[in-house]
Amino acid sequence: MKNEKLQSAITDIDDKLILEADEKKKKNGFLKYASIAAALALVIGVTAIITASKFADKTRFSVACTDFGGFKTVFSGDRNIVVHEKKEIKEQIEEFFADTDKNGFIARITPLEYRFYYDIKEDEFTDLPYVDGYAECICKIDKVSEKYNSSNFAGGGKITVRLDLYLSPSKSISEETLLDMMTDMGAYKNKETKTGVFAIPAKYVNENDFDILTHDPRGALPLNESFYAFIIAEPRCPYGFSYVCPTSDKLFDRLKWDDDILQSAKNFRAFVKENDKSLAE
Amino acid sequence: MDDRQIVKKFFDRDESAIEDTKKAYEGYCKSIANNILSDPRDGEECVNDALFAAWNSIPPNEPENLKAYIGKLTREKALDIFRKNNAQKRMDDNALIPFDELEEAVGENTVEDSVTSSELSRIISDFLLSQKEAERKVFVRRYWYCDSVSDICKRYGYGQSKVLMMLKRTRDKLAEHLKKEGYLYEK
Repeated sequence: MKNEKLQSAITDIDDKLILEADEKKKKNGFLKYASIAAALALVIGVTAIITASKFADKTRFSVACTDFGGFKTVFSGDRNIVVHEKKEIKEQIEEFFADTDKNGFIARITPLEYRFYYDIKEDEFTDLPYVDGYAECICKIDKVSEKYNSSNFAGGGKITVRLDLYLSPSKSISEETLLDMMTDMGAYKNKETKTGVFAIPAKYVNENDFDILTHDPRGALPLNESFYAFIIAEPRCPYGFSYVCPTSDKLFDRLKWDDDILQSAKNFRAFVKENDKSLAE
Repeated sequence: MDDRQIVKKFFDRDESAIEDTKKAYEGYCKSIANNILSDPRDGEECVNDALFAAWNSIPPNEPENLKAYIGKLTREKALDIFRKNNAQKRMDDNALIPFDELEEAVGENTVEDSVTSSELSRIISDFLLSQKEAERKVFVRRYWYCDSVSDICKRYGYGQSKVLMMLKRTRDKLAEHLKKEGYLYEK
């Protein structure tokens, strides 16, 4: 122990911190299994043209939208999952609303699902870059193609701009390995630009046509309607999974919202309506 | 008996205050000591030292929270024994790990001499209180309670990689914060 002053200072930190960390243990562990179970859930692909809303940067951009489950389940509460991370997600959402200058998105990296799919030991991910934050964009979806609003394929998404965030070299897993993993998932990949579309079969994808490929698990996105979507990066996936929170009243009412998250969703809708009267239904 | 009554006993110089404190917090103190010290006998000695230190320091001190107070004394005493053992090369290498991790984050930098330990505590506390609850709890479990990573995983239900990553991020942010605020300088 070289830095004794540092250690003494740690000893004498605020009582609140010491007592807080000694509070009773929280229940967990269920989340792990819930995430895996949810990973098997059917998801429905939807393609859309997406443009950055006036609330965000005007630049066109793309975001990753695919899903192994878990987050949307928490978000919508339809599987009756209670997880300790919910509060954190809610806080993140609120933080997002407090700063609408953000554009694109970043995601937190935890490798749980990838261990599941690739039988990778946790330790191998220890040095992966860890990017903080969940939601970073409000997007206007101009249209949704019926062709993709089906249950023929499971999830999917396209990453372009932000992929570099997730492919930073690590000691234990190379960029090459990560790209190979994407390929294993049926991904289109472009090593030069570090872009890729994954989980959607290539025949459905024309990357020149779309800035975003996403999905809604309930197949409930309104066709040929404009609506705003709140894209949230999935917190437990290296590639930035996401979820669409539509602003359509019709759709909104069809989804079962978890009480804790409901207010955030309402805030979001109020926010959009306040800022774009033409969109309000 | 609640903490306030025990503290009153200390003020009244009633020696049963020590027994009451031991009764209430011996397990808590032992877990702190045993996380730092590999030999349970050292842990036992450490808890006794902490109780004695409480007797000698209350009054004049009047702790608002006796649990945290006795916990801090225990940690302090455990670190003293740890240093002594370290000097005598009798220590368990594993016990060093949390300290090493934290000091590694600080790197070759040194805490400014002009900064007092209590000032540094306040800065670190303020920093931790500004962090997300989950991250600061994990940090405190690791670097104050000296929990093993696997114990932290069990306590909060996190995976190992998540805990390691949370710790690394908070350490890095703390070091950055200290540097930015001018409390660390490069040798």
